[in-house]
Amino acid sequence: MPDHLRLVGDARDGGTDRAEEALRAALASRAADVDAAPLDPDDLRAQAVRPVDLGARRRRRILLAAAAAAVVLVVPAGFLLQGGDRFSAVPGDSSARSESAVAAGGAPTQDDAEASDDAGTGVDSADASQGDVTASGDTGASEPVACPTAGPPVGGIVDFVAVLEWHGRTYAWAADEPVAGLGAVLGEVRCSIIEISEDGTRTVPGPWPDGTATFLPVGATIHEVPGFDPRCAVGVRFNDADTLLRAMDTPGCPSS
Amino acid sequence: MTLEVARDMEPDERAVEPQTFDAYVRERSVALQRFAYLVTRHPEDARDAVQDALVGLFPRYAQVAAAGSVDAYVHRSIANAAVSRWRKGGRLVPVAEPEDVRADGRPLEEAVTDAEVAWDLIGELPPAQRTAVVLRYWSDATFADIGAALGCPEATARSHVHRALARLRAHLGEDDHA
Repeated sequence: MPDHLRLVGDARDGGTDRAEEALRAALASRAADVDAAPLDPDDLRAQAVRPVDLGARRRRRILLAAAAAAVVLVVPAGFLLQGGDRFSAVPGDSSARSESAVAAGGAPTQDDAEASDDAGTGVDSADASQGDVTASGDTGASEPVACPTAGPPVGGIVDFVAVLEWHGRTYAWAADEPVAGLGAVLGEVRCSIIEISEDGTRTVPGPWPDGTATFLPVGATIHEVPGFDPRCAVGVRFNDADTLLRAMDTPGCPSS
Repeated sequence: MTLEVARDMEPDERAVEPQTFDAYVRERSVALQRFAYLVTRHPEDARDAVQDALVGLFPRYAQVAAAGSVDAYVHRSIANAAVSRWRKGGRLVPVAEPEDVRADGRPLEEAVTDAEVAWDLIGELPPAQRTAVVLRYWSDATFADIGAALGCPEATARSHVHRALARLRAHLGEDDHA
């Protein structure tokens, strides 16, 4: 009989609890028998970013949440618009920033051209929500953002897709695309779903305001990425790596 | 001798969290698979549970590590996976008793060691209680850590362990009188 399965009854008359020793011996012996090889971090990372290729159900869920956010935000935007120039009232307005970002990014990319072409179509609806969102959810703004609140515990771990809500769009992690550095700071994360959800143990019903990220902490900076229109892609620093986030389902932008 | 065996393989080094996800995986993935096996009692389920837990951990590693609770997070994920599997699987408990352990010619009751009785008992425990026992007696976790890993109050963690112990003591007591 292996040593680790020897009777531990010798301790039954001593000060050590026999049952506890039996448990320790049983677990130690079985653990030692496990033929486990170290896992490859690269493989795990590849699986972790797979949600970028979203299934239809997940995609629909995210888009519904984004749409709900847009509806909630568009209404107050209407009130702001009635009050005058929505852009001049907003420091660091998103439209102006987008244009400057394109200029700063050097040679226009295909993304730029396509996004410009679509400026009067699908992007408009998102832009309509940008003005007020920028006012409350942008980097330098000192006003607090009304972050979403957590729902009840789910009795498990919610695996949130790695996304960022920004400028009325949902940007999803595009892990396979290398990023040659980050550009100017566009803003910062104001609401962290992973924090709100208490490490994924609770759901976080929408709407999610601009500046909400599922996987980034509050205060993480959002950057331009040289060569990309920020309407189509932004960058963040995460886990010591520059990471590209692509706008989902935005006309004129390559699909994420 | 009985208890020291394999303890040197217990890698629960929780004093300092590895700086990066890669470092954490390299340092802890084997130990986590062992932990998961003790909880799930199935090698493939254990590997799947660890992979799923680490995949879920990756995008939030910085925050979880900053909170100093990476192991608790992963343990919780593994425990949840075990609970899910337990529910889906009709609460079947695999019988993992190797035949050859008792094939040495001795009478059955003599061949059954305390450790074997304990292993059988662990297999009969509900997943949360089993996870608590594994954390307590394999990972040497405190009740507070167990509570954090299971997402329950410390008192509940303590209750899980004590109930399992009471059950085992009853088993061993019966053996004594056999």
